[in-house]
Amino acid sequence: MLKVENLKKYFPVERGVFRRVVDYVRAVDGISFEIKKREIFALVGESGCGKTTTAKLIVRLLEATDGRIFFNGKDISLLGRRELARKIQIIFQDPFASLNPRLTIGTIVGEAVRHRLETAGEKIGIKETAEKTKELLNRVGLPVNILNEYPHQFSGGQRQRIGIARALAMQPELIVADEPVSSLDISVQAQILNLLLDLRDSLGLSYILIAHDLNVVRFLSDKVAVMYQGKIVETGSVKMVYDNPHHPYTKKLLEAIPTLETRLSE
Amino acid sequence: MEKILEVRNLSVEFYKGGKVIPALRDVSITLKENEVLGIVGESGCGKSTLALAVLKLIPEREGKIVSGEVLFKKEELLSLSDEKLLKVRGDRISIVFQDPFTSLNPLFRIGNQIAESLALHRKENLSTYQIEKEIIELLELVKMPKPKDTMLSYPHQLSGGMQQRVMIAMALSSNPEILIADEPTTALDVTIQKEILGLLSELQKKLGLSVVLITHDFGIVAQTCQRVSVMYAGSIVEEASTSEIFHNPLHPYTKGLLESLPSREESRDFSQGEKRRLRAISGQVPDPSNLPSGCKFHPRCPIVIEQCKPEEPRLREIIENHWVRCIRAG
Repeated sequence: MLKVENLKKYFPVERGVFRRVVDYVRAVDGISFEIKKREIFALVGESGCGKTTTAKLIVRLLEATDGRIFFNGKDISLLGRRELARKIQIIFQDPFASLNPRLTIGTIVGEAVRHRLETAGEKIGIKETAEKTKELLNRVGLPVNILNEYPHQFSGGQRQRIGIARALAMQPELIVADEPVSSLDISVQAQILNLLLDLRDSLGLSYILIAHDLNVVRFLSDKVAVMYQGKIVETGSVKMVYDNPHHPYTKKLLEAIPTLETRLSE
Repeated sequence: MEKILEVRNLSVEFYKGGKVIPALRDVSITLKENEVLGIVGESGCGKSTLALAVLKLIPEREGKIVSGEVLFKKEELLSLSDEKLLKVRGDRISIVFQDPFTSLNPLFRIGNQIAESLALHRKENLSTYQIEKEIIELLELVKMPKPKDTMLSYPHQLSGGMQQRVMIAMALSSNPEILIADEPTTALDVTIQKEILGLLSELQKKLGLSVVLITHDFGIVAQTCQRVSVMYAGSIVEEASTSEIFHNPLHPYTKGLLESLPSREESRDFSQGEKRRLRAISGQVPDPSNLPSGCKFHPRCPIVIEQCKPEEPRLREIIENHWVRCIRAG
């Protein structure tokens, strides 16, 4: 469904008055992977390895320096933004920063509903928008009577649900989830992870999961790619990579996970 | 083992927008010599407030310690004068905070910042040469690869892990007896986290430190702590040895938390088409300014009964050295 070929993103490093380009930061340095329908594909790695840059390239919040991304066989750089937004959506890490504090929940989610229908050439009334918004809120496990409330009235987990509802409003086929649970408490984290799985089952979604928590990745994903300094150093099914890592960096990463057993087995 | 630090019935309130927020409610902990005690809980449960309150660091304008006492080697700390308290705080009890990026002053070289803490906490006057020697020894103690270069660098030139090592070196510069570490590795990557935790354990043994480790990560607790206190909504709901907590959790909140971890050990066979779901705790952490009546966990509790609602349960010792705040346990 999604195919990434030799994707590169270099950020220029500028010096001096004339902003002379002296070097490049190779944030993403020639990565390739493929995602099938209903698959959950995880990109893992430590901070600065290029995983968030990759996420932004896929939804075209950044333009690639080189390489191509195909969605259902079409090069995404040839698609219009609106068209792309209807196929691929993104959920951000920080549910506090990614919702406009001045808009009501009804507007945040309803805007996306209207946007989709208008792109499809349909006219939609206020009442109908509200109905559709309520459906979405219900789907992500939120009460439906919150249309006139503002983001600050909600907890981190609830805001993340609002972000998910907004992404679903576009009826995408693929959702890029950039650290969707890393800012949430453990007890709430489990709720959101379950929700992501429920939505995959009921809507047939695929996910690209960007994460640094290897326990979360193991639980949630089918396939995993380990990134290090802008490159994918190891990739395969979760079982294969976790049970039998080959690359020394993957081994180091897996060994560093604080497991519940380590000390107790001593 | 001797008790080195005892917190008894400590309550702290914060005042915000005309509201009283009970951040800590009747918290008691005991730290023994040479022990690593873990304090676990989710954000807002009061674990960082506890660290601050022990050292009387609650900003006066924002809140205050309402009741309780803190005994350090049988000496009460909270009633000490500021002057006397300074001899304990940062000197015999040191603290390492979560975020090394904001804890170091960006304008001074690492060496100067460590020198400042040496100057404040050492009785004797050290010569420049001695100070330099001590700084290098401290940086070697926390295993900085190039202590001499580090001494001359500015904080931004060091990585997060290296900055945290510097923070630990500063905390140890006064030869403390107790080290309080408040989420010391949360801001760091896993591989670096492993190094820092390893370093802390090693130093704890080598220097005979007693450590209070505050964290939200049960994995870290499993690896480093001997005893654990689990906090929820400002009070301790369960306390026991680490292995007891993991093998025999008695409070429904502790049980729920442990079950909701997507632990690595939970390796599953995906080919069977089995539904992968975590056992999540329903609901969310209560708003501290609007706590429920009775047991603070009752709205989320799977085994709640009518008797849980009117009155908050006491912390009871159900098995030897295993304390639980739940009327249904045991």
